[in-house]
Amino acid sequence: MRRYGTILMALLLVLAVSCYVSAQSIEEWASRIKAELGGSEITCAFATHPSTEAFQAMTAEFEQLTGIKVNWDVMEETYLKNKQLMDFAGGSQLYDVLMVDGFWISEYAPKQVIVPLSKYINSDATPDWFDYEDIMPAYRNGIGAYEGEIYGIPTAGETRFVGYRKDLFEKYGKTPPETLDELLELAQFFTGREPNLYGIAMRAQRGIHFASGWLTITYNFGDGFLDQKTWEPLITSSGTVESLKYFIELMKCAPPDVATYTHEEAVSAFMAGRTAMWFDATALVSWILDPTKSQVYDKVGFVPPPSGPIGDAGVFAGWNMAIASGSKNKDAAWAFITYMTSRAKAKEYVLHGGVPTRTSVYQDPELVARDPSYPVQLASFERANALVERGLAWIPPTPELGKVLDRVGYWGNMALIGEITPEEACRRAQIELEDIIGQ
Amino acid sequence: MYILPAVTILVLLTLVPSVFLYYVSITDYELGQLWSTHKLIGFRNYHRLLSGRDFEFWPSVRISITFMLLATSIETVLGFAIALLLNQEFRFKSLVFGCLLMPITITPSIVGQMWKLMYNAEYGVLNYFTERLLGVKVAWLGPELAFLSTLMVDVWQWTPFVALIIYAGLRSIPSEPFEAALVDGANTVQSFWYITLPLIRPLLMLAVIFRSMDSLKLFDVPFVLTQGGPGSATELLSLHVYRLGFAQTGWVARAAATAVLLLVMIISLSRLLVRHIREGGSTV
Repeated sequence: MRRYGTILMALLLVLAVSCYVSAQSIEEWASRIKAELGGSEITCAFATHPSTEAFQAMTAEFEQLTGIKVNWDVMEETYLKNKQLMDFAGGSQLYDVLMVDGFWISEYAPKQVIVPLSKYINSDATPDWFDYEDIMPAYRNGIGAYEGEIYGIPTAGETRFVGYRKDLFEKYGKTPPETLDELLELAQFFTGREPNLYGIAMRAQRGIHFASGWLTITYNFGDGFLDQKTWEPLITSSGTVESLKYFIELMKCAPPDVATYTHEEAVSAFMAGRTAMWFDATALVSWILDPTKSQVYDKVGFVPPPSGPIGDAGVFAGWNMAIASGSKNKDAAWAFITYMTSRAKAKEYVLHGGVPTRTSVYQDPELVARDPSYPVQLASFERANALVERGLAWIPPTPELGKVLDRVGYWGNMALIGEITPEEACRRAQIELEDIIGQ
Repeated sequence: MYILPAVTILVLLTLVPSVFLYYVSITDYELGQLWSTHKLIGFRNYHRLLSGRDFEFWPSVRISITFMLLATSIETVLGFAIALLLNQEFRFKSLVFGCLLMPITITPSIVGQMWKLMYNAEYGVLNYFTERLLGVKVAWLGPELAFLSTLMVDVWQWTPFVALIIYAGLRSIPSEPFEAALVDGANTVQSFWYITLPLIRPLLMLAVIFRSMDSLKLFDVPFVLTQGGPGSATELLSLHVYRLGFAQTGWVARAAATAVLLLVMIISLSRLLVRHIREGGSTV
């Protein structure tokens, strides 16, 4: 009997300690981290992005609180993936915290470039105010997890929606698009309507950017590039071919150098007032509404993604923070992620220009008043959810994804610049994809 | 015995990586894959390239060779012309030399960045002038012009190099043959064709070898300027190697096989040219 009593006492003690640990305030947590990990150093490999700028703005406070020194290595997205993979393959162990595109998770996880995070999340050392469950479920499962295990904490979620110039639409008596047909008509209408004005801006640079731009509307026409159950390529299916033809027609209403645009050039063209519309990531809205960056900050409105021939669909994409498997300071890296992506800091992060991924942020009245696009963003998520109901992930979770998108985006871009027809582009992409998937 | 340290360094720096390159090219290794899990697959990577199953390989070869031929011939002709001008006495000659040296000394990737800014369709200085003077906006890096724009950067940077080599050749020619030709009644064209040209031929060929090999393996400038795009307008073979092996696809082994083929091309070309010099040299 006495032995049971001891065990019970011990259990209670453990429970009490763990409650104490998880209920602690930021200051208490920080002083414990400072005692354990103060003086250590972490290096972050991040992409150029509004969320990165927000995290950088919050870094000084984190360093002061925890005594962990943070180094930043910020670069363009394509280089970022190279550097992360080379750091891993070469074993140089430069990086601790990685900013990982939702697209890369299904490649990084099986290659073990990044480590599983559930043991950190469920650890007693992780405080309550981190609150993983508050992150929107579609992000947790759609961009941060692979085969049921958590590999990344979503930091910048995005769906895509249409931004339009209210002043131009009023001037010509137009209403914002409800369907993709209307979107194309409007884009054609505005192209050349005023000197140096084009219809729309989107990303269409050869490779992954073109594939990503095309994917904005692919699921409104069919089931996308790959059958997500059998992994058969679907590029030559009628819906996917139609979607490419539509995308290319739409890009004819974009500035002539659109074939070299990533999301950055696309949003710049819209912010400089060169296009009447823009159809891209919600994550970039903070730039568009920033008077120091944008010439159209006070003239824009937003609408959810237009419906296509087979109904609604939408994008669930975004960025994660993850811990590099080569990191020598995994605990310090996790402390950094805990602090930066926590619910307690979410509002501050968004006020610095960060991109929301948390339900609590979308419901915060002050933040909603500040950014008029929030209700439209939520409506866009609903449309994106239509895809989930069809049993599809916007990002097909296969380790071969990087290759698939690169090849698809290569041939799509060739069709865009008129080297080959869209049908021929799809045919060749199909051959290459069969090759890749068959390996 | 005394050259052992130097040989060791040479072996470490050139032989080991080359052998590794050949080895990787017959495996199925991919970026990020654990090295221990790679498999030997024989010449499958080469077969894929040469049989045209890699759609981009032959177009890239064509683009690279076209680029080499155009760049080398334009640079040689222009460089020759500049060298002839330099061979006369005029004021501010040293200033002109300084200006000519500048492009050669700038790091190629920086040259790429500079020209990228100048080529920018919206804010670039070139379009400022074309718009002011001709009223047209040129898409320098658009699908039609990207190749020529890249070529222009190469010509801008390396013509002075050719010019300086040939200028050195011109300075070393003795004046007696020209005086003799003058006495014999040869005109300027004749003395250029029958005296100047044969005498500087070895140096001219040297410049051609340098430029053709360099332009065949050109990477930095188009990498910064266009990344091989739009479409594949400027996808030189060297960029194709990079894109296969890194970027999104990570096919390191296939990239290695392509690099080996590029190496074979460069070596056979240079051997051809060197032999040409030797044979030509004996007839002069």
